[in-house]
Amino acid sequence: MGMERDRGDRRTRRRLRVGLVAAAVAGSVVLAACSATDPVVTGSRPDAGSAPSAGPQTRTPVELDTLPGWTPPTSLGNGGYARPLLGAAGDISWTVYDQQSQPITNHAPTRTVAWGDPSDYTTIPGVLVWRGNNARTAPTYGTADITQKKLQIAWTHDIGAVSADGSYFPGAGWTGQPLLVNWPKATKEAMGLSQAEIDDPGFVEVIYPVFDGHIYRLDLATGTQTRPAIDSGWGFKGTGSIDPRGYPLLYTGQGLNENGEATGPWEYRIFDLIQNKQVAQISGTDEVSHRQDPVGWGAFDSSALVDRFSDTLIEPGENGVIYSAKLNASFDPAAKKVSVDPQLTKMVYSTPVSRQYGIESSAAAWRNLMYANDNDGNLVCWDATTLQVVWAHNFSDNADSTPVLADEGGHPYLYTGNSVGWRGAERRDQVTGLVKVDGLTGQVVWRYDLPTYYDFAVKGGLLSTPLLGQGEDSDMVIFNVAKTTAPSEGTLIALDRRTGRTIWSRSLAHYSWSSPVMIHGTDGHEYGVFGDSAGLLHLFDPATGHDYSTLSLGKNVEASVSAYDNMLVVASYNQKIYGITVS
Amino acid sequence: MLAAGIALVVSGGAALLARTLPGWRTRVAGGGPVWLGLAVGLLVLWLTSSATNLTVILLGAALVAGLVETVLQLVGAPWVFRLIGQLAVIGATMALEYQRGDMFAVTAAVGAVVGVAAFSVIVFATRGAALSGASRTPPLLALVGAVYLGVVAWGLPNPGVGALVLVVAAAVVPLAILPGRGGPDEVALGPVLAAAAFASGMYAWLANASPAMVLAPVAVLEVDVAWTLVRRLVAVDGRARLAAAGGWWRGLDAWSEPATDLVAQRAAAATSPRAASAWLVGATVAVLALSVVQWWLGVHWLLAAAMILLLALGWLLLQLAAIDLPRSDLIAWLAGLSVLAGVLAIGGHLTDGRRLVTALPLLVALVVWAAALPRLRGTADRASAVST
Repeated sequence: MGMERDRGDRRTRRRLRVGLVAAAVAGSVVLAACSATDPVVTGSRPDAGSAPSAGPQTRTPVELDTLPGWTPPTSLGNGGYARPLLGAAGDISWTVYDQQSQPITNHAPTRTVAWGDPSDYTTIPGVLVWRGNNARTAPTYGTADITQKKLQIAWTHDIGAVSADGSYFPGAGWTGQPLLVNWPKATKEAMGLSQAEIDDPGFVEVIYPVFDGHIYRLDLATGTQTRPAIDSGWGFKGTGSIDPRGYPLLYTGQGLNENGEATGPWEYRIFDLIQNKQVAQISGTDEVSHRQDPVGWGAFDSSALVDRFSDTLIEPGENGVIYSAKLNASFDPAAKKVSVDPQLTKMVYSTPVSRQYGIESSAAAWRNLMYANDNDGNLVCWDATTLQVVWAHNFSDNADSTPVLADEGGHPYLYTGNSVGWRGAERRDQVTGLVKVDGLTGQVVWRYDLPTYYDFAVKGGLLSTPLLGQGEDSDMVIFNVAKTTAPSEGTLIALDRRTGRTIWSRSLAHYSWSSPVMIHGTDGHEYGVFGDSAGLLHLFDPATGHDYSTLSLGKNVEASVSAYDNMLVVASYNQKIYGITVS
Repeated sequence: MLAAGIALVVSGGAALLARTLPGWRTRVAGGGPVWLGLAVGLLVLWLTSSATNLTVILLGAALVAGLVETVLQLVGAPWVFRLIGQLAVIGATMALEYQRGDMFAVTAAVGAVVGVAAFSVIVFATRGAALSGASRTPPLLALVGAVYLGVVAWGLPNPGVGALVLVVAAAVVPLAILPGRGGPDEVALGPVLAAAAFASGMYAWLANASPAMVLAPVAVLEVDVAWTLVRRLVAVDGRARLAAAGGWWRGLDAWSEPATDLVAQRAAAATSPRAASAWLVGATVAVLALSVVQWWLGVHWLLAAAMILLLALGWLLLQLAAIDLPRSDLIAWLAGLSVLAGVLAIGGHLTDGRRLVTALPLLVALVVWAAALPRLRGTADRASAVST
């Protein structure tokens, strides 16, 4: 009996050992998988380094009746018009209003609003608007001498946070790209910068509206304050715009109208950078707005485009109104005076699929045709001069990403995508559709679907703006899609611009809303940079998707990087603006 | 597909080999092949870069949980220790998911508790099936659940969940086809099926399937196990069994020990094993169909869960009627079920407002009444025969 018991005990111990070893092996598999670097799946790249041909773009407006398949809109009376909506049943209808919110029955403005080649958006060196130009393809300026492929913090500047809308917003958020301006000497003198800054032709000023409601003005090289921060009182969420004529005017939208217990008005604000104060505004509380969910929401996340030739600013609002402002701006450097007196025309549209009626994306422009995504998944094209809708394509759900424009053979194409909002709430069709769209007709050229997780508070999908490849990577467009393989993960994917096929797809351990940028190396190579929700800034190879190196910025990097030569600037949830050198 | 194919071959091959296993290995002859199939399927997914991190974390952890539970059963560990083992593995997995940022702390804690509860229910019910010689019913239910979660993954859509349930289905298929292995002493099948259910259910939940949708495949089992465990506490024979164990610690073990008193087992004894199994699988399929309809209609998950519970209670009632429930009691219980359906209909009308959603619980009650008609007639005939 005793021997049998001993044998039984030994058997039991042996079974336990086998079980424990198996458990250890299984646990090791789990740990190994969790600690692995981001996996990259590679596809084919038949046109490496070869962009679809692009001709020089002129500012000459497109005659709408020459567009393929063009039909005039149907008049609904009292200034209302309609045309069929693409991608969904029904019509898109719109009305153009004057500043007093009276419908304009026959809107025929005498001045033409249009943009030419993206490189002509401004003559001022720097990044003066979200993604640098009217095509939204130049988020960086200059070239960088990169040998070590490393990122290093050069300076930091402390910023604050704000409690608003039932949440807490520290540092800088989406889209949050800092503006970098190499001002003309006369403008620097007018703004009262230091003599050293005036005399330094390489001086670049960082102008950064952030969550805490301040607009910080810093020296790019050192991070020191150039002028006192402007306190607007209310948080900024999007990206500002500097007048492309070099006028010391900052146009920037308010993202939040709460600051702790205090509540204020919604405004798109215009700041005089000489006086360092707000001098004009557009109210986001507009009687013509159809805004729902929540009603009365009047934030401005879009970064306005300014046509420097017609003195016109165009800004879509989260209240669903597209504003066209004749700025009546003037700048006298000798008198050290800048003035602005915006006169508004506004357009409001509606579709059968609209639920929210708001626009958070910034507009892109090709000649007189402008494009923006809205909170109802509509990609809308309108004529910048007359504000009439040229076409609208519904891609379902919600879209916040700014469409990126590429002229390919004299023909405009848009790269964009949507996010998962109400489809997730209804538990169906949770995919992000990445698309290339014909800018003249609104027809889809190709589409790539990525399954996406739903999160009411932190949306999954394409929140970032696609990055159009440059130089050796000009055959690709890179999308940074949030919450794809898990709620905490994302996908950075490079697609062939011609076919929409995968060049590479990188699974990100931490999702990201930050828009990737491309830095042009003096060595002829391109270098990609993006931030993620774990606070890492990635320097990566756009040809392969692999990281060269990373740098921790403490907390979530939701904002997007700006770069001027070797210097990068961005703020994170860590409540700091970071000046970073790439070497 | 490759991972599923290899999982099928490994699981099937191991199941055939398990016939010849001597000694204690017969106790893992049912679940062992499935565990091996799942492990190899996971490995193939991983090696081919087809496994998402969630697949690795959830299935990896589930396999460890299954293994721990099996080993603890083999060494005869008390139920409380086994429960602690499950909680340690599943809790650690949920903690990792919280740390990764896939869920908030509260949802992770709820996930751990619900995960352990569902795991225990499946282990209990599967062991009960083994004791009754119905070892093919649990894999069959697992297959039905995998097909359902495949539909969910397709509709959301989520390729990670899709790949996982495909591997699970492939690993389980041989056990649903081949004659049962291991006999009444088999202890590994329950843990491995519970592991597969935990991994795929948790993944589906993270992928935005509602709690009602995720718990639907085990709804009928849950009702059966809950009824049985409560009955052990309140019924005379149940209390006598606990008292006979001697002491509260042993009594706790006796209370949680699978036997032959599940409703499905008692129904099998009263009618036939085939009929009881058909009722169990049929009711689960009906619940899953109801869940899909509610998902399609966009019914709020709480209301959806209540309607699923209503249907599962209907199954319970019909099975109790098949065992020994008198006609008058059956009518009373059916009336109670109808009242519950009415309450849910009012709830649906107030919170949703759509006619179909309002009518759905009434339709469920109607189906249960219709299914009970033969019982009502049969019982009536028997009653009149006795009186004469």
